[in-house]
This record gives sequence, C-alpha cells and structure tokens, in this order.
Amino acid sequence: MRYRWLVPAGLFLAAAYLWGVAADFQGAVGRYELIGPDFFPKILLAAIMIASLAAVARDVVALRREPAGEETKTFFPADLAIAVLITVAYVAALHVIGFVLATLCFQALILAAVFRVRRWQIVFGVPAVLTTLFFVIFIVLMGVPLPRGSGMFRAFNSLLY
Amino acid sequence: MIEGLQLALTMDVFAFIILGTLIGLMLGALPGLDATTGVALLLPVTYVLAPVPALMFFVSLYAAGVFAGSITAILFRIPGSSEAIMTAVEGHHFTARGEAGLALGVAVTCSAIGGLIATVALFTITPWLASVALQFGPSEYFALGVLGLSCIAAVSASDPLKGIIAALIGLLLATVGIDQITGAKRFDFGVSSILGGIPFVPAMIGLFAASEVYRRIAQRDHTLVSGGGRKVTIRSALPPFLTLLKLRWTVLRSSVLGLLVGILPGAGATTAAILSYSAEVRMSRQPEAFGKGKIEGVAAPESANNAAAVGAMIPLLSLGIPGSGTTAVLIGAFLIHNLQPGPFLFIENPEIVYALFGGIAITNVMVLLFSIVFIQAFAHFVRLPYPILATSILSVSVIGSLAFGDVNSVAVMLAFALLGLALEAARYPLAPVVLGLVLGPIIESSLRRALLMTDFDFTALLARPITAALLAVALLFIAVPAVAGLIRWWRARKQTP
Repeated sequence: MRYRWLVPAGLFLAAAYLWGVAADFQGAVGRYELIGPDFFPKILLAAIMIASLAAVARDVVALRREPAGEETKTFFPADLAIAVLITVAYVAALHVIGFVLATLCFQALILAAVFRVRRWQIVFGVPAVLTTLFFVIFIVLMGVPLPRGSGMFRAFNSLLY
Repeated sequence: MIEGLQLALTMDVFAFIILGTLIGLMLGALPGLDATTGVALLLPVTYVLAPVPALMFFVSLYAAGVFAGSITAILFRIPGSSEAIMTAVEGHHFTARGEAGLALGVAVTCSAIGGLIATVALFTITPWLASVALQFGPSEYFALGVLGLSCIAAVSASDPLKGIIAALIGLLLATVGIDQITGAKRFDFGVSSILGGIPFVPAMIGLFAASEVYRRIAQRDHTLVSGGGRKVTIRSALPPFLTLLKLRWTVLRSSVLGLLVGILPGAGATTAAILSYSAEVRMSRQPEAFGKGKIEGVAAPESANNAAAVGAMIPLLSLGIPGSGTTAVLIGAFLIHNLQPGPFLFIENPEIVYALFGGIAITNVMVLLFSIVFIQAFAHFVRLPYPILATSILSVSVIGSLAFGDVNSVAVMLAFALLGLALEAARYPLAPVVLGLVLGPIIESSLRRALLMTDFDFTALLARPITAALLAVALLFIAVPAVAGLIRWWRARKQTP
C-alpha cells in the first residue's frame, strides 16, 4: 500500500501535539509531583512517537522494495462520506424531530443513497418495520428515554411515548 | 446447604430465576443496555418481593446478561456488553464463514460450564478465595494488567509493531478524563461528558460494529456471510461433543482464571475475558490463527467471563466488597431487603447464601436452555439482505450509544468507528486497542499507587512475591515468541545456501 506510512506519521504528529497538551496538566502537589497527571500519558506518548517513527521508517523502506500496483480492494470514498454524513445528520435531527421521524428518515436515506435501493416498497417499508421494532424494544419494553425532539415534533412524539 | 438448595428449587423462586434469565438475555443482547443497567432499573420493582426470590431474580439477570452480549458479538460484531468484546474479535469470523451456529453453540455451552465451575468454587472454597483476593494490592494489580497486555505480540503475530502501536493508542485513550489520583482533567478538550473517561460501550460499538458497516460500504462489499451460511437450528447450536471434548482444557483453564480475576474487586469479567483469551493465545500451538476465527478464542473468553461474573459474588457475599459494577448495584438489592453482605450473612442467614449459590447453578443451566432459542431467533437476522442488516446495525449503534449516555456518547461512537476504519485500512489490529482501553486504568492507577507506597522505588514492587511471579510470567510470555522467532530466522538463514 503506497500511503501506509501516513497512518504512523499522523500518529507521530498527534502524539507530539498531545505531549504539549499533557505538559500543561495541573493538579500535582508535593509527593504527587513525581507521579502527576502527566506521568503516565507522557510515557505512552513517548512510546507512541518512537514506535510510529519505527513504523514510518519500515514502511518507507518497504515502499522502495515493493513492486508498484499491489493494491487489493477498491475504495469508494464518496459512499463512505455519504454514509457518515447521513449518520451525523441523523444524530443532529434526533433532538429536533425526535427519535421516530429521525430514525425513519435515516434508514430510508441509507437504503436509497448508500445502498442504492430503488424499490420504494423497501425504501419505505423496511424503515417502518425497523423503527417500530426499535420503538417497541427500546422505548416500550426497556423504557430508554430517547429524544422526543422540540416544538411541534415534541408535541407529536409525546403522544407516542 | 441442603435447606438453601431446596429453597432455590421452590416454584416461587424458580419462576423468578426464569424471569431474570429471560430479561438478562434480552438486556445483554441489546447494545447500550447491560446487566448493571437491568439490575439498577428493576431494583425498585422487587421492593414487594421476599429477599430470596428478589435476589435470585437479580443474580439470574446478571449471569444471563453477561452471556447474552456474545450473541450479537458473534453475529454482527456488536458486543452487546463489554464482557463480550473478545468474543466479537474472534467470533464474527465464524459468521462470515457461515459457521455462526458453531461459534454460538460453543459460546453458550462454555459460558454455562464456566459458570458451573465457578459455582462449585462458590460452594466449596468461598472463604479461602476471599482471603486470596485480599492479598492483592496496587503492585499486584499492576502486574496483572501487564500480564494482560503481554499478549499483544501474540494477537498481532504477523506485525507486532502495529500491535504495540494499537495497544498504546488504547492505553492513551484510557487516560482521557479526570485523573483518579490528582483529580486533574486530562485530554478532555472542554467536553464535560468525557470527564468520567471514554464511555466504553459506545466506543466498542463504534470500533467494531459501526466501523465494520462503514468498511463494507466503502468497499461495496455487501455480503455478510460468504456462501450463504448454514441455518442455525437447535441441533446446530449444540456443538458436537468432540468439539467440546477438544476444548476441555481451554474451558477449565479459562474458568479457573476467570474465577480468580472475578474475585478481585475492580478487575471484572471484561478483564477476565481478555486475560483468558491472551493466555489461550500463549498456550496455543497456532497463535497466528487467533483473530481469524479460532474456536478456542470463543471458548476461552466465554468460560472466563461467566466464571468471573460468578466469582464477583465471592467478595460480595463473604466480605461485603463488590467485585464488579453489577455486584455494586446488587448490594442495593441486599440492603433494601435488610440484608448486609459480609461475613455475618453466612452466620445469620446461611439459607439465603446457599439458596443464592444453588440459584446461580440453576441459572447457568437455564441460560444454556433459553439461549438456544434466543440464538435461533437472532440467527435469522444474519440471512437478511446486507443493506437492511447494515441499516439496522447503524441504527442500533446510534440508539445503543444514546441509551448509554447522550449525544456525546454517539459522537464517541462515531469517532471510534472512524478510528477503527482507519486502523483496519492500514492493517492495524483492533484487539490491542481494546486491551489498552480496558487494562489502562488498572495499570496506570495501580502503578502510581504502588510507587507512592514504595517511595518511588520500582524495585520494591518486585520484592512482593505475587507481583514478581506475575511480571515474570508476563516477561516469559513476551520473550518466548521473540526467542522462537529468532531461532526460526537463524535456522532459515542457515538452510539458505
């Protein structure tokens, strides 16, 4: 994999930044100064930096030796980005339109936009069945306080749970 | 003892064991809800009950809940509870190969056997085991944590450096939140909801379940079970006798280890599952086969986590010290019925203690019976088209995280899903991240407390026999594969002309 060194390189940079954050930890006084709140994180960050550098070095050396075109599986970043965005939108919508409507929309969108399901019976039917199932299990049986939304959606959802 | 057992078998009590088992199975299989939540939620319901049925109800709910997390762990790589994390790592490969029935059958059978072995210990050596637990101080806990981590090289045999980096990430993530010793805030970046640490269940749902769905979406790999898989029936959910016979030493070792870890306050069934898995990797002749769907990798954590769940009852009943989060909540169940767990419980209410022991044994058999029905019901979902299954898994991941906390828990779940995706794309193993996350708090706080007690003299820790023995075993676990690798390399070099 051509860019495999990027992960350990990113880890090295993240660890270096976090070292600076850890240096500002406050709270240790007297005897505790030697084993203050930064004691263990700094040990770990130092170890991560050393191990990451070793991994970068190894990956770069391997890159020079490896023949090109070793890629195995095709990656579809747009599909992933759409799926993650729909999930984030779902979480944001939960507190606006409530659990029931948000879950229905989320599932229909995932099926239609990510999995490219075109049969409307499935795009609308499956979310209806799944949302009802989750509603019964999590809200009716388990009493989990899932979001009701706000404004008129809250009023509507209060009729259901 | 006989009187207590008879009490456990009366119809009034037996009915509550069955009810507790069914509710425990349901709660355990749902991500975000676990046995601890169940006991806490249902505590007020039992005010009106007599002490024995009420306690039996909670004990059976607890034991069943510990097992049930494995069902979704094996089928969908969603650990229903934290105890099932190693089962998710190993067991889901069986589902992908179309052998979910075998993994589920082994999981439930080994859970029941582990629980029964621990129950025998409850009946016979409770006071002695409690005294062993009291020998463990900070330095011993530190050594125990190091021993658990020592399996990293084995679970990432193909690339130990990546395994070490993954474990370090887990250990670092475990430092997030308020420092247990000084009270300082660490790596919270102003987010108050992670001051208590990274919420474990949402993190695991993200790392394993959601990341797997996103990976398949990113690769347009929409087949969960290769070749369609075999249908899970009652017959297929009962593992062949020969398979069980082959696993006898794995189950025995892991049950004993699980029991010993379970009696240590604060260690818990999750740690027991991880330690037993790592021990099994170490003892195997094919350590490289672990993490790719090896049946010992399912049997070991399953035997250990149920044995640990039963083992956690030992310090609770004999010393009044909770061995786990759930047993801490269980103390409330004792107190509302005017019972004080501890040595006097054995003197003043021996019939209740022995009824509980008997009830735990019955529960393990009930879990075995009811789980097979549960397994069949859940296994149907595997045969659903993947788009529907993926949509369900993502919904449950979000709802499970919400049930565990708030929107921030969902954010943690999503962050861990992307972390898992990135790590798996770069071929970093996920199991060491979990090891670090679980064992990190034990290792850090124990090491710092032990150093405080010895005036920062690390060598003084080695003077304690249990610590020295555990660290020596850990060193051996790390050194043996390294030396074996060097010998193999030297032989290969010698044979090359």
